[in-house]
Amino acid sequence: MNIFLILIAYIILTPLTGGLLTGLDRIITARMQSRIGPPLLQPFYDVAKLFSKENLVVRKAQNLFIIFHLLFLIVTGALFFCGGDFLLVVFAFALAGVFFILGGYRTSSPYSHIGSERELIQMMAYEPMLIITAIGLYMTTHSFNVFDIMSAGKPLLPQLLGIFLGFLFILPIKMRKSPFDLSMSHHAHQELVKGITTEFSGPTLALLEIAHWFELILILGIIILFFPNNVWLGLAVECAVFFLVILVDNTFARLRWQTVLKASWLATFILGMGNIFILSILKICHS
Amino acid sequence: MYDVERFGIINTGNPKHADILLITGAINEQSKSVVENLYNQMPDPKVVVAIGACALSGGVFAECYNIMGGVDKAIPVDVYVPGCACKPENIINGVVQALSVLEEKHNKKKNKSL
Amino acid sequence: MSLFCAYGTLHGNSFYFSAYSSWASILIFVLEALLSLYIVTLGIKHQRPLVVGLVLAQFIAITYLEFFSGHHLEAKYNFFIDQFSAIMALIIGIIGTLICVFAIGYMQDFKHHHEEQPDRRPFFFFLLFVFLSAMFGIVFSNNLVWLYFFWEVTTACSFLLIGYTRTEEATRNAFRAIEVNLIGGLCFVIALGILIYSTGTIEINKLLTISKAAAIIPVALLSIAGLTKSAQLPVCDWLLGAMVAPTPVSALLHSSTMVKAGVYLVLRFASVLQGTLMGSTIAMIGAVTFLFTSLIAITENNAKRLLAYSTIANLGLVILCAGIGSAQAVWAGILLIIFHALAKGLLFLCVGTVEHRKHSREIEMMEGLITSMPGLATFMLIGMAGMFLAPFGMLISKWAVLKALVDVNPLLSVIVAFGGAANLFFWVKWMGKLLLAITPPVGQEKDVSREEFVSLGILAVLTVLICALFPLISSCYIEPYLYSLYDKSVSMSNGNIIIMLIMLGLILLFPLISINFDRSTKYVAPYLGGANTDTPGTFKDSLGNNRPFAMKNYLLDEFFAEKKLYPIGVGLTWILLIIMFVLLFIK
Repeated sequence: MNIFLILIAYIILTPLTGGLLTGLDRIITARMQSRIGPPLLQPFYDVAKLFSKENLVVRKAQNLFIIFHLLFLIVTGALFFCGGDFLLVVFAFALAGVFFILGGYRTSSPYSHIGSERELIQMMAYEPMLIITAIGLYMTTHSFNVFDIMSAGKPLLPQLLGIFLGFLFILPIKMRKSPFDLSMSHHAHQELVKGITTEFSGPTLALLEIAHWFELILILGIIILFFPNNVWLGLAVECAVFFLVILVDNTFARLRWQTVLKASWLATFILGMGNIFILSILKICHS
Repeated sequence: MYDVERFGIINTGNPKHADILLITGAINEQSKSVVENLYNQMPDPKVVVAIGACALSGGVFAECYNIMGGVDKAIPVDVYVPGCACKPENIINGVVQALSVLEEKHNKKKNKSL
Repeated sequence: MSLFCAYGTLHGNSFYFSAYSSWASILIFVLEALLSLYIVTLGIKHQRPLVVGLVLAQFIAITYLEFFSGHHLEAKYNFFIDQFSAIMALIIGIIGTLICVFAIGYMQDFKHHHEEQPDRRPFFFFLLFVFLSAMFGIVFSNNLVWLYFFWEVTTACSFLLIGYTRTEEATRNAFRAIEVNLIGGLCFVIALGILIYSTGTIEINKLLTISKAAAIIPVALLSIAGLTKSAQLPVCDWLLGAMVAPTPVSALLHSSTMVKAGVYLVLRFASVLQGTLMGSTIAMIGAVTFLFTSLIAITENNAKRLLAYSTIANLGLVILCAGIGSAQAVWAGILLIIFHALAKGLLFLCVGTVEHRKHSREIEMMEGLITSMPGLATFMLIGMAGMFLAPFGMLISKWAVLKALVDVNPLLSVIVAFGGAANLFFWVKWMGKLLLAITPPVGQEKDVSREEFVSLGILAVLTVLICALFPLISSCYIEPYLYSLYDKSVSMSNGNIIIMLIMLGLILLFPLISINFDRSTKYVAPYLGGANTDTPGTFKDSLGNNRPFAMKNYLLDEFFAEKKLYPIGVGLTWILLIIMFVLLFIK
């Protein structure tokens, strides 16, 4: 398939899907809390309203960081869905995150400063797991290339069970849900006012929301990588995981950042490294 | 039953993210600058809803030496919700009215810029 | 001169010279003797028995080898230039020159700040140039005895330069540095002895072609010498102490060039280490160093110390590559050397300039630098981005390291993953600090001297440029070198190169756009619960007073404190070193 077609489909479809998923998320959350919840298209209404608001800034060029954050998230997702190198995807993802954090620092406000520090700790917490996921995928398919991984034709889950579980563990961090929503928290939860996004308003906030949709789709997309032979099974698992994360969000309280860091690294170490260790031993036994 | 999110409204503690300001209580000298400060940090278009008798006019405290009066002594108010205390349904009613005021302001702004 | 060599090796040849072998060897020996005498006298003067002992031990050993060994110490080719040497020469030549230019302006300021000390600047620059020559000697030597001489010259220069200010602290640290480096030198001499007696050759090109079993012991000892010079755990505290030296010294010796000599040596012999248990052990030392020093660096508030830890960490990565020894690993290692030298040199020089203006090395004092010294802050941001951010150089290298590791030793790649995350943390934290601006003073950049500014600017431009040009460097220099050594070659696929270049271009748009951004937007105060006052940076507390607020970085002391992690790291690496020695004796 032509790369440009995929690219354009990606850029148009992702915000739509992301927004719908976010709306669905809010409805499910509300129903779990015995409420009714907003209409399904509420996120789109929100974004439209935000674009119509006045733009207030605290420091010059703070919004530019967010624009670049969104830009590089689009680049990362495009890389991923067009079948690029997964390791590069992880690093580009980190780049996008860094722009976001730097934007938070730039606003020079106490709340966003703490938000940035905590976002940084979050990044440090999940980054090793992402790289280990890449390594695990390589060890089973001998390629870092997403296109190659998807053509592998055999189920990867049994061999990568540990890594999959570890990835699920850090998923709430990325999706900004409890118990790991340290820095800005998803919808309606306050966290040190609004954490890293405290000083962003109006159109920039809309961009942040859209950026979150892109992030969501990318993260969920990585789950499909574990099921290259049966994409429909992968999609089903994705839906199940999505629901699971929302359930966890509503059941757990937010943890302290020290606990988040320790728990994530411990999970990464035991599940991720353990999995790789087992895979290495299997490889040695086979050869 | 008391869910405002079905109208697409969520509670946020940050004026920079907010469109509607719900405010209770009367204004004294110390809180005046605070309320003004917060109001200025909200991006346009914005709506203010004063809730409760004290926010409307000072309520039972109107004659006190330190009370300047209701919220409209500090910032412009768009919707007044009376009561002491207000019924939840009235608050929701007030918020929904505020939404239509917001819509009006938004249209006015769009027409002005066109 | 470096450009000439670079051009020469562009076409894939290596040159070998013999260069007046016999009387040059005698001259070198005489110089060695003089140098040893000088160090011994200094050692005696400052009552440092260990130094004296080590120097005498080395001197006796080398004398014995030279005169009484009975074997011919004539090497057929004493010098050579191949692609790897050419790259190192470019680094030394270009970065070294820029640092020397910077030093002119810097030392001017230094004199102002330290009026009470005698002006020994001519001596300083003399040492810098001697050092640069010695570095050229190291990368061009094929004769290991000559390489040893140049190696020791750099040790001596480092010693004299660290002790330049002649304070109590400086002298102490200088001696610590020389003690550690002399131990490495001793291992070097022992390696030479074993080489002469077992294989009869002292030339690098010959050593690379003889069988692995014969070569592994001397190579292992040479690697230990490399480890000491490159300040790996467990012997890294000399580098941390060396930060008392003036900044150009830190930049030149202790980040861009001298410590590169250590990893250069180990990397040169990577093909010998490939696939051996010894190589894996060395790789482990590098990996452990990388992880632990990255974690400790998070807790540092002193900028130069943080940079020192970061240097040690990145050198650990290169040692890791050298220990693995595959073609992919060596590719990654060479790229790491290039990019690290550039970015770290830039950062050290910037920190030095900032230190002179702000009179502090603390990172917390650099808050708001983007407003008070915008040009300098931009250079620093480029340097920091160059250290860890995609698509800049170090990221490319780290990517290559991971690729090299997955095939050979995936468990090590987990260590790299954790270390990489730690790296991310402290660099972004520092970058954020520069951008944070509560109420910074404006216009402090006027008194930065022209020399400093120009060299910083050139380095910053180079950092970006080399990222863009690295595919060229790879295909012209690194790949032919690998081809000659391993009969195969590695590179990055064209698709990925294009993606990197696109990303680089996008990032470069940022500073251009930010100049004119937000000109017409409304500015408000940050959210402080409504308690803002007219003065930025203060809020009204509950008693009506204006109270200032401040924001400081997380140092994560309870997790990664130096006191806790450093002993663990040292302990682990000592165990690995002991394993190495045991392996040596088994063979």
